[in-house]
Amino acid sequence: MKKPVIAFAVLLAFAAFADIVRRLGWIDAVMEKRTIGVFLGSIAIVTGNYLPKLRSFRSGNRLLGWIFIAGGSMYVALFTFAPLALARQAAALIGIALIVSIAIQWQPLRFNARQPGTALLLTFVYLLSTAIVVYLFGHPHWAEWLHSAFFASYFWLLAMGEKQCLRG
Amino acid sequence: MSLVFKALADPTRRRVLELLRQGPMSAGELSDHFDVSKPTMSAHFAVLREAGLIVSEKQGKSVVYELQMSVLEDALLSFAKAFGWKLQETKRPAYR
Repeated sequence: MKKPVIAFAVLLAFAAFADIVRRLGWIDAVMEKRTIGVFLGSIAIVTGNYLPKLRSFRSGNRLLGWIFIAGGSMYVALFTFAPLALARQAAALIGIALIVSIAIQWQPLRFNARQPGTALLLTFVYLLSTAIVVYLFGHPHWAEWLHSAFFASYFWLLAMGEKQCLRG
Repeated sequence: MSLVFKALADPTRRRVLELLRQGPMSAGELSDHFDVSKPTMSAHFAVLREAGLIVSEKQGKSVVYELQMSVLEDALLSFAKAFGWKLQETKRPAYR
């Protein structure tokens, strides 16, 4: 599980680097948005590829990995070739479809937040949710609540994991 | 990645992976599908385990195997099956 976590972190760092490079004036805002979209798609591909390796997914439930790969590939293609306005609208719809598919399969997975795969998936959900809000609404003030919701849900999962460990 | 290619090179091992797509199976259940000796099957399981394509868990007296393939490895298996790849296992040169 180390490889996907490292790949995830590297891609995330590149996306953050794109923002820094834009602030320095080396690339324009359009190029920055495209770069971040491509890296977000790449993160979806990396995460989706390794999801079936997680214990919770091994027994038959392998569809989510393929959905991630398809969604991630569409992100990469859209932000590389499509006009930016169209790419952002389509990416928001694809992102919503990805989050719905995660939500449908979340309950049977019985996640333990201490597993790196769970942290990876939850971090991806956070990134995707933030991206969808930005693509649809720009930068609204209420988007700050997303950060709080993410941290609250992460600590809740961590507590659930502790509870399971205590029971075990 | 070379371990994965080595594991997928053999048709018996590919068949084992195909069988495990249906769900976890014990070593005995898997061996029943093949006309080979148990030590040979154990060697195949070891190669698959080493490549990280399957995991084993001891349940009582039997060992149960389960798939642990990434999407890419799953796609490679499907390609190998669809196109009947006969991947050659690379042999190391004999040193004198």
